Amino acid sequence: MVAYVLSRLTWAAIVLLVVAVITFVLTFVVPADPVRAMVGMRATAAEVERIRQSMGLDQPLLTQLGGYLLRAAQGDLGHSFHHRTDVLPLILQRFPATLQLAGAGIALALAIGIPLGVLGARRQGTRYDRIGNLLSVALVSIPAFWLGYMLIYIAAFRPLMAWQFDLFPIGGYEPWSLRHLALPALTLSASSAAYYTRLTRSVMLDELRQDYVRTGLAKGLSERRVTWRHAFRNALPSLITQLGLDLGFLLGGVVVIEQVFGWPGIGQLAVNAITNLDVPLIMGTVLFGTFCIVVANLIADVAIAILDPRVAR
Amino acid sequence: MAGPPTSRAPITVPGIGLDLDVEFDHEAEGARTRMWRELRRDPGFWTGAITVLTLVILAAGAGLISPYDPDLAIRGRGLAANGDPLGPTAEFPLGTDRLGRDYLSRLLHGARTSLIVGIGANFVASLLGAAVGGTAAFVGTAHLSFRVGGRRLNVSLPVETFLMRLTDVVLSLPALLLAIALVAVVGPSLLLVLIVIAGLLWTVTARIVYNRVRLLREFEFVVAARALGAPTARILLRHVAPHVASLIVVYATLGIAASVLLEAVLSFLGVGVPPPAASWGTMIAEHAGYFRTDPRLLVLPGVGIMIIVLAFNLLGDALRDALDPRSWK
Amino acid sequence: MRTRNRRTTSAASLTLAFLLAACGGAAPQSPGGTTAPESSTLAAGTLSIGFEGDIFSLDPSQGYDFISWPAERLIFETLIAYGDGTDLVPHLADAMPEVSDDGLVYTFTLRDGVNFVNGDGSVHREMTADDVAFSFNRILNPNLTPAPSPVSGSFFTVIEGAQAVVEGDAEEASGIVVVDERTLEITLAQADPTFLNIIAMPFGSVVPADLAGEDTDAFSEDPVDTGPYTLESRTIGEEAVFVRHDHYWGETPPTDRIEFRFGVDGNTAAQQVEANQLDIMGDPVPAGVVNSLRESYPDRLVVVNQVAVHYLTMDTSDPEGGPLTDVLVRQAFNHAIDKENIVQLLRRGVVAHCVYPTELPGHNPDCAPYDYDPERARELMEEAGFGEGFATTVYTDPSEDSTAVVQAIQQDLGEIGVEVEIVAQEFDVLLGTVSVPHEAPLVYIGWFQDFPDPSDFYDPILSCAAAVEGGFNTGWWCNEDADALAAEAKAEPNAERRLEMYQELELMVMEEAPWVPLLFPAIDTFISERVQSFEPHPVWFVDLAKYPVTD
Repeated sequence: MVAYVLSRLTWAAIVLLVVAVITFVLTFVVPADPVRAMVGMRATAAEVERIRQSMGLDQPLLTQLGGYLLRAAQGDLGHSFHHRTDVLPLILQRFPATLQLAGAGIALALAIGIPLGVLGARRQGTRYDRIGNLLSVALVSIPAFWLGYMLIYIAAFRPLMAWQFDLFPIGGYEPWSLRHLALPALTLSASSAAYYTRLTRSVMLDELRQDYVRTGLAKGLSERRVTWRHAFRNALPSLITQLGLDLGFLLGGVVVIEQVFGWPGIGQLAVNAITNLDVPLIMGTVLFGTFCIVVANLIADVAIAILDPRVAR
Repeated sequence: MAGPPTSRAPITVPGIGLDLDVEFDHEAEGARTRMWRELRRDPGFWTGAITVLTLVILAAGAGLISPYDPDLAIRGRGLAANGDPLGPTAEFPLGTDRLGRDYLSRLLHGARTSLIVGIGANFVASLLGAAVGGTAAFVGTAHLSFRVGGRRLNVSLPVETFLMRLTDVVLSLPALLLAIALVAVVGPSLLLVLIVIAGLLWTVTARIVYNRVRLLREFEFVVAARALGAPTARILLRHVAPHVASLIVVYATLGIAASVLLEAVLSFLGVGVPPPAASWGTMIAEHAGYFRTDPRLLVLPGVGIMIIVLAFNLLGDALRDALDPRSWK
Repeated sequence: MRTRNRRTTSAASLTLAFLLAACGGAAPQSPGGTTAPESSTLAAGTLSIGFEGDIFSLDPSQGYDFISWPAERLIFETLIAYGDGTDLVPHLADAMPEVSDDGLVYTFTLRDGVNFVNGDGSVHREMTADDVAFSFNRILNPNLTPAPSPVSGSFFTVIEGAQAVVEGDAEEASGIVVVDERTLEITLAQADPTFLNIIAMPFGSVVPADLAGEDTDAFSEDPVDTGPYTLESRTIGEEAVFVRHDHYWGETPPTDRIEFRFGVDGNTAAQQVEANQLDIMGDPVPAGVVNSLRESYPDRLVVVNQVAVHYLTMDTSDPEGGPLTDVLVRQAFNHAIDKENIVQLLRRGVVAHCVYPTELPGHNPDCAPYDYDPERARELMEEAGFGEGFATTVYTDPSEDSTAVVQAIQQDLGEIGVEVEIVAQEFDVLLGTVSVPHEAPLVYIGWFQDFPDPSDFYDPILSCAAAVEGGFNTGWWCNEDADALAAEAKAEPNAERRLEMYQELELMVMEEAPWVPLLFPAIDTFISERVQSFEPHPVWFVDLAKYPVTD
């Protein structure tokens, strides 16, 4: 087991390194000039060059990459061009917001998706199952930003204006506030919930077809017990694997929701960094995002190894 | 992360949700006929197939059917006096958009763009993914032997490990961010959006194909073919490919929905297909602010996307059920 | 200054006709006088304003946008400022300066009892003339980090010896002389009637010599200043809170707390203001809801005409030749574009036939050389030899309004055979792109007044001096005769004659058509019911210190 964890850790570090290099190279290939974007107004060519030199941005790619990695290892992720403040503190300051949003979104998605999926599997082929499928598909195909605007309007704005019900805030963020978290998390979870419903259903269907299920039922175990304590437990590793794989895509969903709700998270920070050619911040957010995905996958891998020790061989 | 794949690791297409774990009963007689019969009896298959066909026809014929040029803002008559878009009228059956362009025409042409993005991206992703996954699983570690100037050189290339690790790295990237970065670097265009989406989805196909081919590798018919000395490529193409092909088709159909939505998100963030091109994603994105005053502008393309997703999902589900002997009735 | 077309929240004039007439003179002299600080019954409370963007910098040498300036103006002050209109009044100076007969030497006496106040509200020390001199030299300093002031090479270089500082040959401008603790003498290199307007810009704010170093980011985080508010807290990308303090030399402002909120999406902000959860929407109201809000809340939607112009520049001097270098083609473009349609799309604003906005002194209502005439446009294209058309590219920012406008332009130019590709870049990146000569053939951009004088609508954007790398003359147009006229007009002491000359200049420019002027924009500002009175300022647009709120 220890060896397994260690090998996973090594691999995680390698992934981070590779991503750092890829992103760094990408920022070099940008056709527009980030230094110009930073000082664009009234800067003569000479001034731009001077600033470029003073920031060490005129050195060759490898030198800059090396310097960046060295500093990054010591915790210095540079200074944002656009926000005019240090990158790492800026990211860390906004991390809790994204963490709350993503966490709540996933939790909600799983809380809705898994029970519904298991139910769907057990009632496969019935009218309920079909309707459930249709609903899942419908939810999955609504673009998140649209759903977000609709939820704000219907659940926050109209109750307030029509009946003075201050149910949910109209966008905005307060740390650890369920009221503020509710609508954004709901929006985030909408498509994921549908997705996990279908996933759970599929996985459970496979499990429920196994012989041991029939044996268990024949032996007199209750359907509920067989479903949850046996079939579901066996299905869990697959679900967790998938969860880990999806994190990269999930982070994308967060971006849009942060914009619509004015949620001060990392997603928005990252997108703005890219469109503003804020190179240090691009590097910082991408690295940080990858770091989170990698860590989450590590946890998922360990969890699976615990559940299914064969994996760790 | 790539852990050792078990035969029951489900692989799903993000956003849709499906797994496929098939024990393919190759020896069964008339398997293919059986499959087709199951398919024929499935109402989901027909609904999905017919809808897809209708959509494709509408999209292909958009140029003929559209009453107006979708990119043409009709000056004077296209907008209300106060600048707002028009609702449905006799002149414009589905109203106009924020620039005064006929919405029906835009929706039809948008279908075309969305389908091109969806189908195109998935086609490329599937090919790429299948190539990577299949090669990784089938070749394993390649042992090559050369003669160089009198000496014999033995080289072992860890093809499998390398390819699957590559897949892992790509999967670990914050997908959307990299997509935006790429578009920002190169400049938005339909082709780029297609490439970007394909570049993200291929990993999914790669993983599926990898798992499947690993299993098949051990099957008797493959072992037999190898024993008989058939070249690797031939084995891959004639024996393995057919099994995997149907698998890929299933996932590709489901990935289409994900692609269309991804395109909508990219447009919303400002890095989608450049104007004035009509795509359902762009249309939703540019009218986001009208959700209170003129929801038609959002609902119509939104429903369009829902129909595409539903149709391809039904199709995919039907294919999946047909391929799995255990679900045959 | 450059406008972000989306965020045209800028000082604008809700001016009535009489103000227009009164503004005829460029000479900014006004009866001076000290105002005794008056304590009034204070309506306490918090005023909130929301933006999608963020403050760029609170350091007065850096901020040059519609979010930074309103924030800076809460805490920093200038020697001369605008009263309630466009007239200049002494502010940190205790009277209007004495000007020598040749217009070159300005002598300022400073007000007594002005304190620099720390962020926590405690007093740092009193302001002296040394601080003022330091502040002006700082604008010129090429070593400011992360970048020198955006106006270091312009405006303030009218001071004698300033150029030497900008080029790094001197530490201080020879024309800035501290006479004594309360007296400052500034000598100009040439007479410039707009000099007082220049130092009335936030760039002319007074900063403490001992605390404002070359690290502008550090000073922005911890500003020490003379204004009625202090920065209580700032979370980048989220909010900035300013609170009133007790040591202000002047009239106490009515609101004791002003909150800036950032990262607020436009559609969401509109709902927040409607529900009175946000007091002022700093960005323009999104096109989708403008008309319905105008109907439902006619008194809460303040339409403000901006002293600004949105225009399309064309690369007039492309070294590779090209159709845009031909004046006939440019005139064709002017005839081909349907400006009424653009105004209709934006739902606000006024068609621009020439350069100077309606409220700018020097505006010529008779200047209208090119009307919408696609037939004529095609004739001109034929004449120029481009009857077959050509392909080109337009650059702009990705906002909702800008993309609508360029698509309309794209269609109009398509009618005369010109195929236009659209490239949208985030505003800062766009500025970087268009400041490289001949990089962008067509640019859709805006210019907003820095101060109410026509020279501001020629020198920074149409002069030869601005047609260099880093300049804003994005059409790269250089006409020696026009420049000569502009220089003459600038120095002309007679106010009426001066305006006449600027109008001549405008006609000269329009003949060569380096631009297609499109519209003079307006914005709708949406305010909540809590705001008791909201008067947009003709120069600054929002004067946040002046709006009381009910709780």
